[in-house]
Amino acid sequence: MVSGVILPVMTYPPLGFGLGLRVPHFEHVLQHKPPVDWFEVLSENYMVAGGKPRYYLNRIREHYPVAMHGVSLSIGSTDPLDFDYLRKLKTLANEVQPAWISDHLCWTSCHNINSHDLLPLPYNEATLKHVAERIRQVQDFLGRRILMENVSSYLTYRASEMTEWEFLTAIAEQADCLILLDINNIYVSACNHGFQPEYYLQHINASRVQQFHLAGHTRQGDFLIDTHDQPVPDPVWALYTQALAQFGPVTTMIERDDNIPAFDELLGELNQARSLVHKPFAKTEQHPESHHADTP
Amino acid sequence: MQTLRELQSRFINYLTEGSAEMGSMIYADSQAEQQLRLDIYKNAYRIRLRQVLETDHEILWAYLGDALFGQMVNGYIASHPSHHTSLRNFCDQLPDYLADTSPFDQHPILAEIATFERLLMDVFDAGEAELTDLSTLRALKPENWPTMRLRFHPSVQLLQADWNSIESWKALKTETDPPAASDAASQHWLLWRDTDRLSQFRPVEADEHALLSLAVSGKEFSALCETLLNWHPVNEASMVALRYITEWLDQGLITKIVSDTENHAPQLV
Repeated sequence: MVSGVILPVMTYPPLGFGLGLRVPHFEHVLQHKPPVDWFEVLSENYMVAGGKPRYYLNRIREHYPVAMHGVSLSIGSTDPLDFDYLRKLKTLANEVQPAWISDHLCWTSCHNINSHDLLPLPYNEATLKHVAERIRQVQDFLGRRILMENVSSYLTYRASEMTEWEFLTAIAEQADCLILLDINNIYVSACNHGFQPEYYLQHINASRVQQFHLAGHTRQGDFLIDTHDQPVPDPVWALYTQALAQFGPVTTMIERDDNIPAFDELLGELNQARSLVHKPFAKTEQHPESHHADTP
Repeated sequence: MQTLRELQSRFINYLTEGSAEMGSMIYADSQAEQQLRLDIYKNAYRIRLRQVLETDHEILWAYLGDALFGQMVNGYIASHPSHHTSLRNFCDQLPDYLADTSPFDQHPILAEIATFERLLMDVFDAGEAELTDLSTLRALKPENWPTMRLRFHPSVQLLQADWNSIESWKALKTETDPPAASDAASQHWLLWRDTDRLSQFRPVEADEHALLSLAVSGKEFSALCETLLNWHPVNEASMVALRYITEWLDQGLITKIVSDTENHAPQLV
């Protein structure tokens, strides 16, 4: 890198407004080809040899762009990177040809025990170095830049030395990865930890934000829980509006994983997101699969 | 300062064993708040795994009832933390757990029901393979018949049920009372995924089971006919074998018909 020269961050071309592809909607999507710009699929659900999930994914992929979103990368774990998992991920990506691949800035397993949860990391220099190095290894293996998503959290470690937004920003820079900004997760964590969600947004490097997630949550006593079982609530729409004002139009997707309604109800929510975007999506000329090229 | 490894070890121990060492690692205004924050993760861990057991073994749950199923859930989660990247495999050891753990080991039908439910999952997401049909069989030259071998769809599974587990599964699936557990009549079952990608299963008689077992293991047609002599007269054996193979072709079980004389190495799909 030439000192003092700020090179542009290469992002993927925007996809517009998407939904998560879920089993109850497989047949509806195939039959009706609803007006959705793209679908996000949970990578692990399709890492199987065949059957209905793969059949529907392949058929739906013929009509829509798809992005792959994972939950098992465990990028922050101190266990070795799981190259068996990464090989399966790469095989799936070769078949699906997703617009991009994302996972979470968290850890899920330790001592080879998988919590199947998105557990928060302590935000400090040691973690930063550890995680950034692993993201670089994953990107090298997959041959493409990946997106890292901020997770909801319910606790703060005494070992943390920086805020989550400082950590996320630093990770993206040091690992040279992109950001999937989950607007609902910011709101949930802000309520659980007592910070201003707007302040979080203001400290994120817009040039690395590739995608937004929107979702609903549930109140449990004094805490908000990231349940993805409710429509997007008003405070999250309000924060999304602020994010759009700050970042401009960003590829947006609504997550719904439980209490899944009829497809048209989700389409209505997606149209609400559309109605909040008043500018066209920026065209991206470069493609980050050659992400090494921006490091002379 | 604690290392990341130490923090993660303690956290995992907290989730799996309820270790008390986790509390000092997080900020909270009170011990009660500390517990509330940690409990969110601990409860989510248990609820998530319980939901997998409930979803993958819905009929076993109905058979056991809430109390015994709850006991099984607690025991299985405690003894079998997930080592898999996907929850699809979390319950893989459940049949063994039921066969080896009191009080479930006193009722072998439980492990059989669990095995059947897991096989249905294997059938559901087994690999794809193009099927062949009767025309391939008809095109086979007479001299190639003795060495003919069949290749089966990856979803094909065979199960021997010593108990009336599948009859009980079927009863509960239609929300009727299952029969009393009985090992009076052992029964073989065939499971596969049909061309509409629906999981199917049916009982198979002893002669068809023997034939299927040999055919799936790659044995040639002459060996299949020979085994049928245990049930059928010598002048009928080849016709019976042909009748079964025709049924298998119709049901979408067979992907390829090969013969050694055509230089095709025998091989399962």
